[in-house]
Parts: sequence; structure tokens; C-alpha cells
Amino acid sequence: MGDPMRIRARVKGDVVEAHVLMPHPMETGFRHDDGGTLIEAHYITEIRIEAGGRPVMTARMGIGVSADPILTFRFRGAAKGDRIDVAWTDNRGDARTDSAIVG
Amino acid sequence: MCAWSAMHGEPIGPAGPVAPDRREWLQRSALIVAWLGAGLGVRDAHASRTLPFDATLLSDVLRAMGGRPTPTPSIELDLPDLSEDGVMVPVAVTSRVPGTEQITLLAEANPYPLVFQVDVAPGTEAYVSTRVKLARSCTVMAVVRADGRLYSTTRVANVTLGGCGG
Repeated sequence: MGDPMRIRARVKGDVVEAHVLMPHPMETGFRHDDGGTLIEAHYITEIRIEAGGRPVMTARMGIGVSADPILTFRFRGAAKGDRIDVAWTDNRGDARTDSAIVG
Repeated sequence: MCAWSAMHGEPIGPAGPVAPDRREWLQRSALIVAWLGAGLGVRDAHASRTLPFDATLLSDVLRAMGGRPTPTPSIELDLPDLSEDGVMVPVAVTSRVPGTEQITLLAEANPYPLVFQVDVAPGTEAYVSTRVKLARSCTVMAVVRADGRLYSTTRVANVTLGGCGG
């Protein structure tokens, strides 16, 4: 399930600027723990973002995105009070969806 | 049509006349298989779903995306000239290419050069910002897909301490 995301979306003129932070280890599969054992790769593979039920952005990623990925993006067609939904899936099949209200 | 549907599309059974209900079933399944195959074909054309996040060469990623992009000054790729630590390098891509539908980021020296790809929905600005890992100093490339064509811009990123091993 992972920890809750932090989503902030604010109207700026006629666009909404959104910041999303997804707590996730984004393990590369190349690192070793203190005991010298290889740490298995564990990373988000896909993020889907919708606002008011309409798709805003879909992101696909590999191990090259930093731990606790952040995404900043801007979109039109949403207003104060609309809901923004962010859903991620990782390489282990784990998934999480969180929402926020555009402010 | 993929191998899977071709395999399943083959009417397998004893030679000779086929019972009517069986014939109907075969026809129906052939239709379904054709439809499935067409669906897969459309998806393949998109290329995005079959992206090689495990490709080790930047050129292989570009090939999978549909070829070599045309360099353009209409893409802005913002990242620090020098990063002390490659574990968390802020990157922002802004495209002024009309009709931008997709932004992809590649880091040449990473074990897997394909870092991320975003599909930009209509109404969404052709802009994305995040933080990435850079294994060492290398060329970073932003590729934009617009009206089915690929455009790119590159920057050299200098990294003091790599961010992929550890």
C-alpha cells in the first residue's frame, strides 16, 4: 500500500499547478544492504493522474526516478473544488490511490 | 497478429465435416481472436506500452520509440550544470513544440537510460518536473512526441557522486 501521497493542487490564473509526492523506496536493484546482500528492485512503474474524472497525465518510469518521486505539472479545465486523483502501481504489483481537492 | 492469437485462431480438431454448433463456435472465436489481434496491433503502434525500461543503450530506447529524433530548440531541458549528488537531480522539461503529446527523459550513462515518460493529455501543459538519478556525468536527452514525430534536446549533466549504485 505504501504511505499516503502528498498532493497539492492550486488554481493559478486559468491553470492548475499540481505537486505530487509519492513515498516509495524506488530501489534500483543495484544496491547492497549493510550485510552485503543485494536489495531487490522495487520501484513505481506507472502513475495515472485524473482531475474531475478526466485524464491529466500518465507517467511510466523505471529505476532512474529518485526515491519518493515528485511530479509537478500544470493543466487546464479544472476549477477550485474539483477532485484530483493520483494512482501509482509498482513492479511488485502494489498500488495506491490518493485524492486531493483543487484549492 | 501476435503469436498467441495466431495459435489460438487455428481451428484445431479432427479433419472432415465440422458440426454446425462447433463451426459457429470456431467462427466466433476466430472473430474474437482477430479483434484481439487488432487491439494489440494498435497498442504496439503506440510503442509506449512496450517501452524498454530494461534496455541498456540509449540507441535501443530510441529505436523502440520509433527512430532518431530531430533536434529542436523548442524543448527546454532544465537541470543543474553540476550536481554534487546524482541520487536526486531536479529535472524540468518544457516543450513548445505544437501538439506535444508525450515527453520522455533519457540519461545516456545510466544502467537503464530510459528514466521516465509522460503522456500529456489535451488541456495539460507540455511540462513536467521531477527528480532523477544520474549514475555519472553524461548527456541527458528530452524527447518529445508531437503529431507522431520525435524531437529532442540534449544537455550535459555533470555529477560529482553517482546515484545508481551505493
